[in-house]
Amino acid sequence: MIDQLGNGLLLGVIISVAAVALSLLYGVTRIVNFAHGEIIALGAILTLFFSGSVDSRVLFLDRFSPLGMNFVISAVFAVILCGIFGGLLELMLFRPLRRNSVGNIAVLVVTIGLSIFVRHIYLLFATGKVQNFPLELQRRETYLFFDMTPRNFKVLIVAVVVMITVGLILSYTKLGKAMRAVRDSEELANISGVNSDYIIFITWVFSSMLAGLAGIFQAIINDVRWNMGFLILLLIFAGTVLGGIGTSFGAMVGGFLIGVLVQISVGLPFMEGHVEAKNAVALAIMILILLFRPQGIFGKKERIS
Amino acid sequence: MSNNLLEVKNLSKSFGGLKAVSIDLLTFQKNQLTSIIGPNGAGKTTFFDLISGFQNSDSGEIFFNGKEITNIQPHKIARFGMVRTFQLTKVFDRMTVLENLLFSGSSVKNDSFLKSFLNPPTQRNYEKELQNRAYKVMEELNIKHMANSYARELSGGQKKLLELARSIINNPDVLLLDEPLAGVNPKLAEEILSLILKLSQQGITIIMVEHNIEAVMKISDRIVVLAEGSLIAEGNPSEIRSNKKVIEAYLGSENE
Repeated sequence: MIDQLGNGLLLGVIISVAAVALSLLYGVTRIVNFAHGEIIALGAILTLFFSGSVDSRVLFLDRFSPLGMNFVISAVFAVILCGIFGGLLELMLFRPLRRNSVGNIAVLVVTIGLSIFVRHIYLLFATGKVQNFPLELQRRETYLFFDMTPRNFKVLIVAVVVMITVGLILSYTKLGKAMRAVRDSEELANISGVNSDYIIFITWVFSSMLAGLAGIFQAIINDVRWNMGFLILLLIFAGTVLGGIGTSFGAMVGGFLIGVLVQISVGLPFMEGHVEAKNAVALAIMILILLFRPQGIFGKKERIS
Repeated sequence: MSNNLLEVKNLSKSFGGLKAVSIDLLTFQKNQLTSIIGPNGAGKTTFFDLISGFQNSDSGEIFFNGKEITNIQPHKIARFGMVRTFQLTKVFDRMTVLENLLFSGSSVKNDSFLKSFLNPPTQRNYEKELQNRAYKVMEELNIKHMANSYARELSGGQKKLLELARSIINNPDVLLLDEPLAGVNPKLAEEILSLILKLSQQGITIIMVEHNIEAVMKISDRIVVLAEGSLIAEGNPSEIRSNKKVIEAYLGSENE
């Protein structure tokens, strides 16, 4: 079990970053975004497109070679483009829906449709093959009491730094306060002088950049697939719910726990030979916790009237 | 320069075939306490929504302080100094009472992204001043002991007080109160009423929608009566009391 701890920490931070992004978006806009997974995949696919070596066998649209750019620069570009993508979704799709007072359930269905549509665009663009970033193989090393490659250890550190930064921004800046205000009441934020449309736009950009980053992390540690975001989307939802819907800090911890639980359960004695079932244990634990704490680990009970 | 702080010309708004608001000319003077009354569905709240930017009008013009504010976004109108409340009390649930006030009180230009990290002396002074103001307002409204309670934990009446506190923390020129007495007990209603009167005496122009006729008659300088979206009468309380049109359209149909 303990030899899975390193993998657990890695999956934990990936789910955690993605869950914060999802939770933030839900908190501010009340949108349950099923297309979140596709923004995750976008981060990875764009990074592959920018950084893959020009003469590699990877072809986009069966024709175009990758651009062979520096990996870090590629990743930064990809994250920025994910932010732009999220911003465009808000401007061209979700803002008009909001203007026309389209209900939450209808918007949810729109995100499901969007998810399927975008995912299959990826299938066309990046093919259904499993691809890898152009990074050399590394040997695992021991850090404290867990094993991982130096590169994955770097991912872990960067993810933690990113999450601390996100926490600081949400807690201490005017932007973070304005996001919390819009979450509580859009109208009230308006009469307090906050442009809620702008805050919602920024939230989309911010959430999508985080999602793209999570996708890049996931692809560094594992691989790039057209449906990679969709595959971990349910774990992200689970993490968000486990932490307490609408609390960013809860989503961080909930997402992390889910990720760690999924990987650690691989080492359970009865799991031998049934590794594909690893999600089952983690999600069963999630259901158990919610039975006893319906509001999630960090959610607060609220006064009804 | 006239004394008209707020001026509405040819304002109209329909929902489907229903004319919600249709007003030729209506002005509000500086330092006056004006009440808007009218039967349910008279268009009072829609009128508030139109002048505070929460709904766009079909036609017409609205001037505030000589500036046209027709159909501009609500946050801009709030920044100009016209602040409203809502029929259903709204507070920032996940913030404490103090945080509610600090958030609504902080003007945008003084609270930049960078400054909140660097915390230079000007920023500290500004925050200190804001905090003092928040405590003063809480003291005035008798909610100081709840400064650190989360707003979601407050009772309905306490939320009303917090809403008022939040509305006045930035010293607005105009305060639009949408049924400030709805759903509060008689003792608190009395308290809120005297508070409104006090704010009016401090120089805030108040426009209030309220169903409690007794209260309206007691504190208003001027009363505006709407029915079916149109202005049917305006004047001081005694004029309104004896206005035949009003009695027909409004008082007659209500069991006061």
